[in-house]
Order: sequence, then C-alpha cells, then structure tokens
Amino acid sequence: MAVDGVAGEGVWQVEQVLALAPSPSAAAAAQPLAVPTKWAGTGCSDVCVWGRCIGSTGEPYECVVDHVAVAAACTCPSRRRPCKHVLALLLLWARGQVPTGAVPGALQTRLSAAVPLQGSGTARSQASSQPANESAEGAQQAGGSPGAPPPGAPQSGAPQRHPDRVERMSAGLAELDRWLLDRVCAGLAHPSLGEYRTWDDLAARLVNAQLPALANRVRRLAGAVGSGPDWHEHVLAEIGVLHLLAQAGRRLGELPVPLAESVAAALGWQVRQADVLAGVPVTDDWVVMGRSDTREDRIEVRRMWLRGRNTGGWAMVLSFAAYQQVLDESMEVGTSMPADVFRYPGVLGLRALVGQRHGSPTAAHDVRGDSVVGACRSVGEAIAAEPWVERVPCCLTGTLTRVEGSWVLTDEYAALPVDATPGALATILACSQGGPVTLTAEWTPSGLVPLTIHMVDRAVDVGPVADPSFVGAA
Amino acid sequence: MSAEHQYWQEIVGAALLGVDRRDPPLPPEGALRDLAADAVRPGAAEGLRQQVAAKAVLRRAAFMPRAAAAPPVPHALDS
Repeated sequence: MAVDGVAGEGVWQVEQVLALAPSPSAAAAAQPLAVPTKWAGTGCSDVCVWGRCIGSTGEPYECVVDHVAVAAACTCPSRRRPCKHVLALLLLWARGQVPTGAVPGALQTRLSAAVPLQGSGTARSQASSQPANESAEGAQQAGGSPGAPPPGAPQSGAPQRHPDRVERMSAGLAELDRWLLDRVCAGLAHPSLGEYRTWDDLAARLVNAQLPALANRVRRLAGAVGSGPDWHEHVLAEIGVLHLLAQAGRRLGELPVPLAESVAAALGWQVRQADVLAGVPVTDDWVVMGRSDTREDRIEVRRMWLRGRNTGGWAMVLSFAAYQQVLDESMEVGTSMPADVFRYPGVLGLRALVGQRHGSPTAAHDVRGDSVVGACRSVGEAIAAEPWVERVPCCLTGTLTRVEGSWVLTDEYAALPVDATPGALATILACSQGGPVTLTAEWTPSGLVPLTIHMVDRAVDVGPVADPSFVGAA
Repeated sequence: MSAEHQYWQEIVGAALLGVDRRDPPLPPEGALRDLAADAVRPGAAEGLRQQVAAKAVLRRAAFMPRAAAAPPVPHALDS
C-alpha cells in the first residue's frame, strides 16, 4: 500500500522558488522568514502549500500557494507579487519542512481567489525551465512538463517522463536487492538485524532514490524484528515481497500498464490528484464500511474503507495528519452516501478519491457479511493480483471465540485468526453476546484486524485509532 | 505437517542461519522450482532469495482458513 505522506514528486527546487521573486531583494527579504519557527499551521498537498506567517507585528498573515497553477494569496498588505511571505513559505516547502496534509476547508475559498504569479500559465514553465539550465535535476524534480501527457501514456506514466528519476530508482532497487541478499547470506539470526542502523541506513538511501513507500515499508519491518515468537517468519516473508518489488520495479517497462501502475505506487511513485480526478468516476451509493488509523513515521494515516452498494467494489480513501493536524472526519462509519469515486490507477485500484457527493449521508445498517471461506477467496484474489498489498478489506460474518489461547472468527465451516486490541475484542464480545456478528475487517499477514461491528440498528467503530496526543482536534 | 509447510520451514531455517552456514532447500517440482531457477546468477544466496519471494507470496495469496471452532460457552449465571 503506498503511503505517500511524504511529499516527493512535484515539490519545487529552491532555485525555482527564487526564480519567482520579483527582485533579488525580495528573495533576500524572504530568507529570514523561511524558518519553521516563523510559521504555524503549515501543510501541503499535491496541489497547494499553506501556513500562517507570524511576523513581528500582531496579526499573522495567512498564506496559501497553488504550486500547480502557480498562484498565491496572502493577507499581508504588500503589493509585491509574490510577497516575501509567499516566497518564504515556498522555500520552507522546497526544503521539505512543510508536512503533508489535507487542505483545510477554510482555505478552499482563499485558494480560488489566489492571484497568478508572473502571468498565468507560463509561470510554471518558466519556473521549471529556468533552473533546469543550471541543474539537470531541477526539471525532473518539478514534476514534469506543464503540458498534458502524450496520448496513450499511463496516468502515472511518470517513468517515461523522468529518465533521471528512473535511473536513480533502479539504482536504489538494485541496492535494496543487494541488501536483501546480505540478509539471506548472513542469516536472520545475525545480530546486525536487531541494530537500528542496519535498517535506517537502507531506509534513508531508499528515500534518496525517491522510493518513499519502500522506505516506509523497510522502517515498519525494522519494528517487527524480535516482536512475537515467529517474527522471523514474518520478516522473511516481507524480505521476499521486497525482493519481488525490487525485481518488478526494474522491469516496469515490460509489465502490462495496470500492473506497472500498481508496482510504481508500491514503490512510492505519486499520482497527482488532478490526474485521478480527470478519470471516469464510479457513481454508486457508497457505504462507509470502516476506518483504520496507523502511524507512519511522523505522519498519522487514516484509511476510510468504502464499498459500493451496487458495484460491490471496495475503495480506500486516505488522509494524512502531521503533528497536531486534523484527520479527515467527513465520513462516518455506518452511513452511506451517493457519490462519485475516482480510483487511482492499478490492478486493484483500491485507493480512491471522493469527488462530488450527490446527497447527504444516511444510515446504512443493512450490511451483509460474507462467509469465512468466501472472504478468504476474495482476499486471496486481491493478494494474487497485488502480492505486496499489506491490507485487504473484507466483510464477513462469524463468531468470535478462543482456540488454544488465540482469538479466531469462526463460522460453521472455517475460522480465521483475529489480531485485535483487548478493547476491540471486548466490544465485539459484548455486541455479539457470543453469537455470530458481521464485521468489516482488514486482512493482514497477522490475521483479521476488526474495524466495524455491523449491527441491525447501528455500526460500532472498533478500528485502530490515532494517538490523540499526536493529531489535533477537529 | 503438510509438505508445503515443511518446505517453508526449511526456507525459514536456512534464512535464519544464513546461506553461509546452511544450504537452501531444493524447491518442490513445478512452478516454484521454475521461479527459483529464474534467479539472476543463481548462486546459493540468490536462489534462496528467489525461493523466499516465490514461496512467501504463494503463502500469502493462497492462505487457508483454519478448521471451524466451537463458539464460546457462556457461564451459567448465579441464581
């Protein structure tokens, strides 16, 4: 599952930001403001960057920049466009000091009032071509040419448009594969495996190779070493999956397009939201089946699992929150809404964006669960399609019970292991009263992670929750 | 223990000690052996890495549920 909380593709180079400055003195004036301590409430998406600049005067200036259309709005009185606050915010962002997040609703209107910088349309191409003369990296970092991709090119067909990046990625994948080989040679029992540095060095190199999703995966795996009695089986299986991705990533060009898109996403290749929203939506009555929060390095990730009432297909909507930012609260588990859903490219295409909603949410308590064997079949098919997938959603009906000290969900034919917190287990037992219950769950290598208990008159959310001291209040 | 599971346990054993100390197992006849033979420069370590990938993915996709279990038995309430 690609977690692209860390901004990668599309972020400008410092030189590009400075090229926007109306004069050298404006660029110089922006520099002292381009430090995190001068800013509050900063965030960025793949469309815009925002934040409040705390100046020497009383009131902070609200700043928002659309870095795709190259337009900005700032509440400061300066007539210079862009003002030093906009430049400082962009500098901060270019240096990777702005966390990724969902655009606050209040900013949307301000964003639409943003004034184009350096004349509309051409500004971006100026911005990206100017430094390209000096550094070859500039242009490819900037996220591609401003024009539309050539017809027939895959939407995330960035590989074709970024030869340098492909080269760097291949080198990173080759290095990952060598690292995996070293593990297999030295053995998992080797003490180096328990050392933080063994993993962190690799993760850092993967980030440099612009493979952020793989870096996150490696960091997660580091945490699995020594956890639980059969940790080495889990770590070994993940080593196998990483090898598969390292091989597939170097053969992207030979793979069928949807598979190549899936592999690219698993490596951390970002697809622009605008490209996803340009696709054909699936219009359906979407039931909000479950919610699941996980911490990914310094970012909290929320997955909302939706299921089309008519199509039966699953969709996953991600939201991200850095420290004290707010996760998406716009969808409530156990409701359904008629809406357009746009899928990201790929074989499974689970990840999606919600477009226009065609009505208000209503209660959805008529959720039917699959049998245990039926759930195994559909989950197995999903894993066969994208073997690196870490979580597959399912909705099944069974009884929670204990076998030889571990929890399982059973029906009359088969049972699956359950991986849940004591709180979630207790809630399921209380709601089910020892009988069959319909659950939405994520299937993971360690078993079913229950997210929602579907009852006749309500839905009970038992999914993993974000650390309340980390995320901000809604 | 099924042959499938035993083969995976042999892979885990070899990977735990490292190829430097233990030879990897021979994959069973069929698709898995073909996949393992597909490794680039198939030395012992490359071969094991390939076997790990092929078998791990197979295990994940073709996971089997356990036998059905008895539902929990409620304790009789004190009258």
